[in-house]
Amino acid sequence: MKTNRINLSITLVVLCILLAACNGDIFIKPLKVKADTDSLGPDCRTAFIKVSGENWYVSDMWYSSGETYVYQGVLEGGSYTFKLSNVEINGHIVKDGIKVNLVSYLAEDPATIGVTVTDGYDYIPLQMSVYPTGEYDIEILDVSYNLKSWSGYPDEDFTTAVLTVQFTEGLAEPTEYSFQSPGSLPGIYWFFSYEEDNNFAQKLLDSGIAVPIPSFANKGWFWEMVGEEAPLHMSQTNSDFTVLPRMPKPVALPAGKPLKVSLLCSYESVGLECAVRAVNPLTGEAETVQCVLRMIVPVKFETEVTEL
Amino acid sequence: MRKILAVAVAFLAAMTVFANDSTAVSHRLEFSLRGAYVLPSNHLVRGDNFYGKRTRSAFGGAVEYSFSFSPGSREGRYYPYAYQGVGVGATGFFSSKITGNPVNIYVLQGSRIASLSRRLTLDYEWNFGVSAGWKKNGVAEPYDYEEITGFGSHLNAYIDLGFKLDYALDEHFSMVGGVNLSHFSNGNTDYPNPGVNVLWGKLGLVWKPGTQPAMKRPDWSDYNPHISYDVTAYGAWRKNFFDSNYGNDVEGVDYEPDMHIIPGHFGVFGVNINPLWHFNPMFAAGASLDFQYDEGANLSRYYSDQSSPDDPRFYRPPFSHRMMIGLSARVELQMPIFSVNVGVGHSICAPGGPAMRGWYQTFTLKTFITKNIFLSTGYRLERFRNPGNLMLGVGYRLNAR
Repeated sequence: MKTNRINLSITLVVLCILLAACNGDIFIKPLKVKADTDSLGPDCRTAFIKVSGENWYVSDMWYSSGETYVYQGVLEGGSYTFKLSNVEINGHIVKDGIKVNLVSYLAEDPATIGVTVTDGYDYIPLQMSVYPTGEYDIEILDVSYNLKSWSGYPDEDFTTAVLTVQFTEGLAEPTEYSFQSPGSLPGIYWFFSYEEDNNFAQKLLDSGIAVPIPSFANKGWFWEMVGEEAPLHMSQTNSDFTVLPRMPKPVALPAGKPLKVSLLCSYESVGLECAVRAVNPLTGEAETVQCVLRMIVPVKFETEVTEL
Repeated sequence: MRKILAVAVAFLAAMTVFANDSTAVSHRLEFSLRGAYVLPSNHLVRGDNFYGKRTRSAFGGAVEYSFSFSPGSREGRYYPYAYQGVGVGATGFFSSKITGNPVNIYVLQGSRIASLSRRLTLDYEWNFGVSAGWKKNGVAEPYDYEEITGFGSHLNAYIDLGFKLDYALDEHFSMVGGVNLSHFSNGNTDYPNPGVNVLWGKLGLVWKPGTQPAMKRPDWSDYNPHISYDVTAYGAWRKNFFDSNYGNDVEGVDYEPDMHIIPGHFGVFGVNINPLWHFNPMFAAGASLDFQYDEGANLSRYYSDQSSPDDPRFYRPPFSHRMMIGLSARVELQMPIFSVNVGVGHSICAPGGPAMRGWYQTFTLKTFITKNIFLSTGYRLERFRNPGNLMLGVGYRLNAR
C-alpha cells in the first residue's frame, strides 16, 4: 500500500513538473480597466481606476474644459498633476491602479479628464466627468499704476480728423471759430502680463472685471486717475475715452474764401506699468499680478484750416 | 550508439544467466533481417523536402530477447504461447537524407494465432519503443515543404505490428518470416511530425536455449469474469497551431485561415476512469470517462492581434476552455505484463471550442509492474486522423484479480 502511494505520488509530482515547465511565456493577462466612479465633483473628490494586467502603464492623460485641452504623455509611475488657473487635479499611479484626486474646479460647465492604459498589446481609454466644485469669482483688491513713467511706441502714429466744417461760399466777414468738445473719443486698450505661465494672471487680466484706468492729464504730469474705468481684457478692445485733451484755442478765419476747418486729434500708443492685487479663488490667497496697460489714447487736439 | 550496444550486450548476458533455469521461464533469442517499402503517406518521404529526395525503401536488422512464463505459473496457464521481452534494431532508409538512419529500442510481446501444422504456426507480435537518431529539422518555422530538412525531433516513438509464420527446425531453432507494419512518430511533441509508415518483409532465426517445456492449451478453468476499474493519470507535452485570422471571417466571403505554429510546447494532463468487464484472461471491454486538459487548446480566439504572428501572445483562456470531458468505448487485449487498450470516444463537454470537441481515439499500452499498478504509454488521435498528444502516465486497477 505504501509502495502504491509512493508510486502515485511520484507520478503526480512528475506530471506537475511537466505542466509547470510548459508554455507560460506566450500568455498575457487580459488588461482590464475600471473606475469606481464615472465623475468627480463637490460630492466625490477622489476616484480610483483599478487596473488588472501585466506590465501595464499609462500612455497618456488629458484634461479638457471648453477650449482648454491639456495633454500629458507617457507616465512611468509616480505622481501627476493638472494645475491650471481654475482647476487642480492630481494623483499617482500605484501597483494596481490610478488614484485621482480633485482638489478644485471652478467653472460653470463640466470638464473631462481622460486616461489611456496599455500593456503594449491593448490600449484601453477611460474618461471621467469633472463637475465644478465652485464658481470662479475673482475679488480684486487694488489696482495701481506707475503714472510717472510710461513707454511710448513712436512708430505707431494715429492722427485722425474728428470734426470738419466747410465754408464753401466763404465767410462774409472774418471771424474766430472754435470746436465744441466731442464728449468722448474712441481708443484701444489691453492688458498683458510677462508671466505667461501664470495661469491665474492670464485668467485675471482677461476676466472682464472693470478696473480704473489712468487718463491723459493735460497737465504738468501726463496721467491721472480721474475715474475712468475699463474691463480687464488681454485682447485689443475698443473703448470710448471720456477724458479728452484740452480743446484748441479759437482760430481766426478770413472772409471771402472757401475754407475747410478740421479738428484733428493725435493719438499716442503708450504702455503703463500696472499692478493688480486680487484673491486667487483656487487658493483663497491674495496675489499681485504685475502687468502692463497698453493704450492708444487721444492726447492732443489741433485745428487745421485749409482753403477749398 | 555505444550505449545501445552496451544495453543489448547486457540483455544477452542476462539471458545466458537464466538460460539453464527452466523452472522459472523459458527464453528465446531472435535475430532478424528486414527489407521494407516506405509508404508514401506524407510529403517528406514523397520528395517534398529541402533535398528533393524520395525515401522509398528501407532495410533493417534486429536482435530480440524474450521469455515465456512457466506452464505451471498462472501466466503460463492463461497465456501458454505468449512471449515478451525487449529488442534492439537498426533501420537504414533509402534515401536517408531527410530521415537519417535511426536505432530502435523497444519492448515486445507476441503469441500464437493458430497452429497450422506440427511445426508451423501463425503468430503475431507487436513492438513498442523509441527510435533514436532521426534527422532533426533545422528550419525554425518552415513555410513550405521545400524548406524542411528533417523531422521534428531526433527521437520518435516506434510502433510495430507483425504477423509471421514460425517453422520449428528442431526443439531449439525455428525460422520465422512475415510482414510487419511500423509507424514512427513523435506524437505531435514537435514539428514537423508527418509520421513515417513502413511495410516490412522479415526473415529471422529464433534460438530457444535450455529445455523447452511442452506446450499446453490455455487453461482458464479457474478464471472468473469480473469487473475492474482502471484509473489512469497521464501527462505529456505537445505543439500547437493558431489561426491569426480567427474572427475575421465575413459572411458570404470564403474564409481563409492563416495558420501559424505557436512557439514552445504545451502541457497536457488527463485522467481516465475506465471500468472494464473481463470476459476472459485475454479480452476485456468497457466504457471510460475521460478528462483532458490541454494548455494550448482553442487559443486562436485569444490571440492578441497587437502581437506578431511570428511571436504571438495570447490572453490566458479560462480553464474550462482548455478542457474536455468525454466518453469512450474501450476494448483491451490482455497478456502477461502488457495490455493493449484501444478506445473510440466523443466529447460530451468541451466548452472552449472545436479543438477539443468531436471524436477521439486512444491507443494505450499498459505495463503492469504490480497486480494493481501499471505504467501507461499511449497516444490520442483526433477525429480519426489529426495528431493529438502522447499520454504518459500511471494507472491503478481497482478490483484486480
